[in-house]
Amino acid sequence: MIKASGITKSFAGKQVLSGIDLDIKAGRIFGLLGPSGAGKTTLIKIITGQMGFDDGEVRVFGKNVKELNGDDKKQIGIMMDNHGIYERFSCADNLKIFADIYGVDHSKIGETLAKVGLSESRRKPAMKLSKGMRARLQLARVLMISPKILFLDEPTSGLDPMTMKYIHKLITDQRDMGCTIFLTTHNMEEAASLCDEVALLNEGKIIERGAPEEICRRYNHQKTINLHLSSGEDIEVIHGMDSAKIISTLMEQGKVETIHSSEPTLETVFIELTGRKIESDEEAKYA
Amino acid sequence: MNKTRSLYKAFSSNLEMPKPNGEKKVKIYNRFGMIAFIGIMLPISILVGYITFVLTDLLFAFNGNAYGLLSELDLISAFAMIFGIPLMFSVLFFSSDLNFLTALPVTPRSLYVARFWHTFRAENVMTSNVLYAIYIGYFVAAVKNTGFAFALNPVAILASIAGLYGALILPLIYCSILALLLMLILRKINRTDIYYHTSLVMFVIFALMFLLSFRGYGRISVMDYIDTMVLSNNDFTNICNFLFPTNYLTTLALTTHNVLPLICSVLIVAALYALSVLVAHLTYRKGLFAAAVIGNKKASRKTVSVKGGHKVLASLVIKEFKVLTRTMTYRMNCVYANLLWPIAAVIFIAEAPKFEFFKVFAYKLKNGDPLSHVILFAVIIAMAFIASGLNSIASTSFTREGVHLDMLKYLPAPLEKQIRAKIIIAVLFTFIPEVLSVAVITLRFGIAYMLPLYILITFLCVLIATIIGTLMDSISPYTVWSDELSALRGNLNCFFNLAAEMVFALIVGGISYGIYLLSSNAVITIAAVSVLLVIAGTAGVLAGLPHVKKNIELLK
Repeated sequence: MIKASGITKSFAGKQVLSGIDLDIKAGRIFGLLGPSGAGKTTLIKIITGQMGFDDGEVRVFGKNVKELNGDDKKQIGIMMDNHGIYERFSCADNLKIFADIYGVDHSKIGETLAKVGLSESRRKPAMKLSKGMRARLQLARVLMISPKILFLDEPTSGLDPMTMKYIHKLITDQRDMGCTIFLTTHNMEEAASLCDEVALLNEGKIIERGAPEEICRRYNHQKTINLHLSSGEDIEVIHGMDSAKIISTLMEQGKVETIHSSEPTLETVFIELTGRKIESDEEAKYA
Repeated sequence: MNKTRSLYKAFSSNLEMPKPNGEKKVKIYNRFGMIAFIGIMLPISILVGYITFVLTDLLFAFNGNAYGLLSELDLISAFAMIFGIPLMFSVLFFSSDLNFLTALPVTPRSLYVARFWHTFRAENVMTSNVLYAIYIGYFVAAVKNTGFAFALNPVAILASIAGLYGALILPLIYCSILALLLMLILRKINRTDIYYHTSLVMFVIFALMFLLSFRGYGRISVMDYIDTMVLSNNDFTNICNFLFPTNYLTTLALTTHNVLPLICSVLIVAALYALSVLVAHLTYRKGLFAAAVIGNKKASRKTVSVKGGHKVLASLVIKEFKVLTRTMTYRMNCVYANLLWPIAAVIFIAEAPKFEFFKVFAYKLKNGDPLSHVILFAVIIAMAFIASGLNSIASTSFTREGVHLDMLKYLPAPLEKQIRAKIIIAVLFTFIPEVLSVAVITLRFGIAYMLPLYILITFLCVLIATIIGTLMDSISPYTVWSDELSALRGNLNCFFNLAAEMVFALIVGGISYGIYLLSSNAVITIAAVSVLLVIAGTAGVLAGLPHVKKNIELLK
């Protein structure tokens, strides 16, 4: 569905993307993870045709991105920053603008607003919406067009857990309907629970890719089992010849309260690969 | 077509500033509106209409009845062209949502068309009052000289409508084509500052070209000027007839009632507009790619600039300085606009000695004529107030923060300091060019001994004007804008502030003249007004600033 090969991009002599290769299959959720300034938004802009690039090739729907026509673009939904919201317009009028641009019947506006839970706010000006409601309005704008590909740039950044959950549900519903989703996030838990495949981007290069659990398994160098004993003591048992014996002895003695295996998370993998933590754009701004 | 209309509608949603929340604020705003109408729109319209009437009435005797009208249309087109280049650069390439829109199923042509007409509408709002006044002035003179039926011939009416729109539309078309081509040519040069400087160079070239054309005005008397018009020897008009043929053709149709020039004029506009659409079709997308790169570079530069170990107030002043100087729209409209005062002062000094009244005025000043001193004193005061209103720095103090205005309340820096930083920067940007202008004028008039006093007066007036502007913006800052240009153009605070500054200039001028009439003594007049300004400035700092703070704290 989306294929990028050897994408390179520089700004004023500084390379911000270097040899990016991607192959995203239809009907999957692909997550691009990386810290602020890694090049995530630049890559989305390139793939969606908002920005040129120095070298490489991007193909969407099997076509060169530069050759995408209006009909192709009608099948692509893009949600980035606060773009595409006209503050003085009501929620319904905002959608009307994009319904005209995408050639969508106006009858779909009400239906989409209901889908994202904004029916009661349909006449409210966008500037009076809360952050969560704005995110839902943006999502309504892209869902209204029933896209085949959806690009979501940090869709849940700064949102409360309830809205986040709501948006995750809308995203997975879209995937279940066959939509291909390309999202960027700095939230590793979100990526692990939502994405079928992720790529870790650092300083303009993809440093790891694959299914989240597969990546975690790959970096599970020191397999350990953590035990919490009834005495309050925590012990870590390293996988090996004696581990089963130690655990069964403790269990037989009735000393074990909880037991769980300990695999690395995407976050620990990222730290292992780069030596630094992933931080959101907002965290980076105030760091 | 539907898409273009939708985009146009979306862009135009930012054209009008919403009324503030709360009955009290709405009342205050209505009063500001009244002041602006009475203080700016009405006097300017009456003045322009009257000048057109007098000029046209006079020119009827020379059989060149529409030359006055033509000169004024040319002036408007010339100014539209000068200010149109940075405007079209900003509108076509630096609006925040433009890149996002290119990824939608919208052709660059649709995007261009929607942007162009949105800009035309916004600009037309600003100039249409003057244009209406010009045509009303002309028609009154024409009815007086040729009678009702002849003057208001249908072709003349149609020609006036075409002229009214053509005076603005043609320069905007040229500027659009120039901006599109320039962006295309320069996109390979991967340096942000060159894009900005190229636009500035173009601005200066056009400004100089037109200012040089004006030089002829100074050398000639009104009668000579009329002669040059009738004999087609006026350089400025000749250049403009070539650059803006629609002005010439519509005035020709207006006076001769010949429909052919009118048709030609419409066809020329249509052809050039079609050409601009074609250029947009071929180049706009590439230009937007280049602009997207600039946007990214701007963002990274901003991140770097936050660092540094300055003290709080100094850091806040530097932040305001950088916002104004590094944002193209603010730099053009708020910072460079101040340079026009010293330039105007130099041109005035160079050209004015050719006029008899100047020689007399200079002689009187040098010989201590009290009334001349009071007049110059009032002019310096008026300049300071108007300069502060025109540059819109104070009147956009909080507007510039946009939707992040609330951040001011939560920043670890005290709100007073943030307000003080905004005032300091507005005063500096206005005061320094004003002092240069005042220095040029006083030195030329041979009254250098007055310079320290004039510097102090200029400072006080700029300070008072800045506090007025900041206070007005704090009542209801215009925070919901999609690009910086809308923050200035669609902002009623700027317009109201300019009106308020003009009224203040008038009041201070009136007080000066009143005191002079009572005392017949320039020293007493200047001293009394200076004391009043010191009191007003102190009151402004002591009472105005807490009010600004309170307004911002109460903003929801």
